[in-house]
Amino acid sequence: MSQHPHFLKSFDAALQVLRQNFQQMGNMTAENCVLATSAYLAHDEARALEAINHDLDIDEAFEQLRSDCFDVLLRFQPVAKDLRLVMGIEHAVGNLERAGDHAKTIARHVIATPRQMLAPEDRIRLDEMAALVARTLGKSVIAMTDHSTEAAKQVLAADLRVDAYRDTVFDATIVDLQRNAAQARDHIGRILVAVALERIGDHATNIAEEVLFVSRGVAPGATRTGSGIG
Amino acid sequence: MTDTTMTIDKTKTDTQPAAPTKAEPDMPPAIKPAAERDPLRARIENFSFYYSNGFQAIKQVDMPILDRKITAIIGPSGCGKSTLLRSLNRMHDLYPGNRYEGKVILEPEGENLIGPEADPVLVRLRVGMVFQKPNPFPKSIYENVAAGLRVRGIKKRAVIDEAVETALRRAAIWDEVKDKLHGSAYDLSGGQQQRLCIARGLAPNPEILLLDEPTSALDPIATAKVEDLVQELSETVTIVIVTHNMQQAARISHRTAFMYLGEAIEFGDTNQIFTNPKHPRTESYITGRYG
Repeated sequence: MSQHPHFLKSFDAALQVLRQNFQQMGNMTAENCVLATSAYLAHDEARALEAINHDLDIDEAFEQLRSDCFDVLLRFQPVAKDLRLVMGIEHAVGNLERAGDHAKTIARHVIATPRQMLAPEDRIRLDEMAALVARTLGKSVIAMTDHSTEAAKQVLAADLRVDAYRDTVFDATIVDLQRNAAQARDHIGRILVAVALERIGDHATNIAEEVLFVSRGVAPGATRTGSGIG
Repeated sequence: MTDTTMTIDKTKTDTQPAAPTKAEPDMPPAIKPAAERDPLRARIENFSFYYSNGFQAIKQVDMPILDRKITAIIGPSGCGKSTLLRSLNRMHDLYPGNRYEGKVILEPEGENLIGPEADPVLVRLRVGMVFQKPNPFPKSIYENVAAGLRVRGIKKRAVIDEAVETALRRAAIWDEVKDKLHGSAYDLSGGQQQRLCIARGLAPNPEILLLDEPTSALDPIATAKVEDLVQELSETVTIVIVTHNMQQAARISHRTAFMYLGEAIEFGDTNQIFTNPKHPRTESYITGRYG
């Protein structure tokens, strides 16, 4: 970001704290997506519990950041790009919190169901999908803190690949259900995980759209196209 | 006497401001044309102002003033915003050697307010002014409001009575002063005095009311009353306000102009100026940044 500093140094300091805490919450959320998915793939209940507990930290960060945003609005009454940044972060933390909930859903699924049978290709696919989603979410957070429209566009483009993974899992599951209905619980569990990851990807997309709003001052909806790339 | 180099140009009837000339490369136009749905009350065209010592305080400003809207002028100290405001009702004529260039066209008549044929006294009746500090005359409340009417030559007591009450009601101070109209204006609070000054400005029924930092000397409650009043008044009179308080500009104005070093850098819808200004200098100023 190449903007000049504010006359009021405390304003710059408050915005910097907001960015740092947002980045920290983003990292926590992205890591929890990977943790929850790895717990699912390994059917590791201890790891799943760890992911569920981490979600409490994410919720706490969400409350703190919202409070920080209100504090900045109250104390500094920002306008223009500053206002858009605070509003963008305030919206983005909601998306991170929801992304955290989806990771928790994956972790809960591990605890609520017995060990599931997964074909090696399914395991690889979900592992790759979780890694892609976590990277995308992390990139959306960096895009926000660095005001990087380029990174935001990469996030929007990545959503198509996330959707493709979900579709592949879905198609494979349909085939497996037709072949082996006795393992329907395992097959449906796989879809639940893929859909949860896909929803996390959607939240990364939402954050990327907020970045475009912060940078350009254009409402997020105005940047949406059929391909999802603004 | 004030010199003016401009003559009346009643042949010009278009309502669009002149094309911007000061935009930087790849920058949007400094002055955006008014939307067609917003009729103009005045047009400031290629307007410059020079003080008697030769200093050019305003540099070729183009700005539409929309009818029955509030136009806020913001900018750092010394940018020329008050100078521009005072030009609109010929306040600078009170000092010899000051000089205007360009036009301030009052619509729909197309009269150039700074043209040589325009009588500054009559201009001030059509374009009222309220100053930073409340400045009631050392007279009664009634006489403060009646003063402008008497200048206009109105002598009938009944007419003045009615106009005084109307102006005080429009200024939202009637209920507070109706029982002491002949008491001294100095007995009122600061906020009441300022609303009295607004009533005084309204009494001659001006087409435009100019407000030069009208709340800078008032407490938050009195400020809120004046802000509410200004917004109500904008339904019936065109208002131009100079303010250092950007939150105030954002709260009450429909259009905002940002001035810097005598130039109008950016003009647009207030929401746009305060959420997504187009010019980097506007952005730096309103966000409180260096540069």
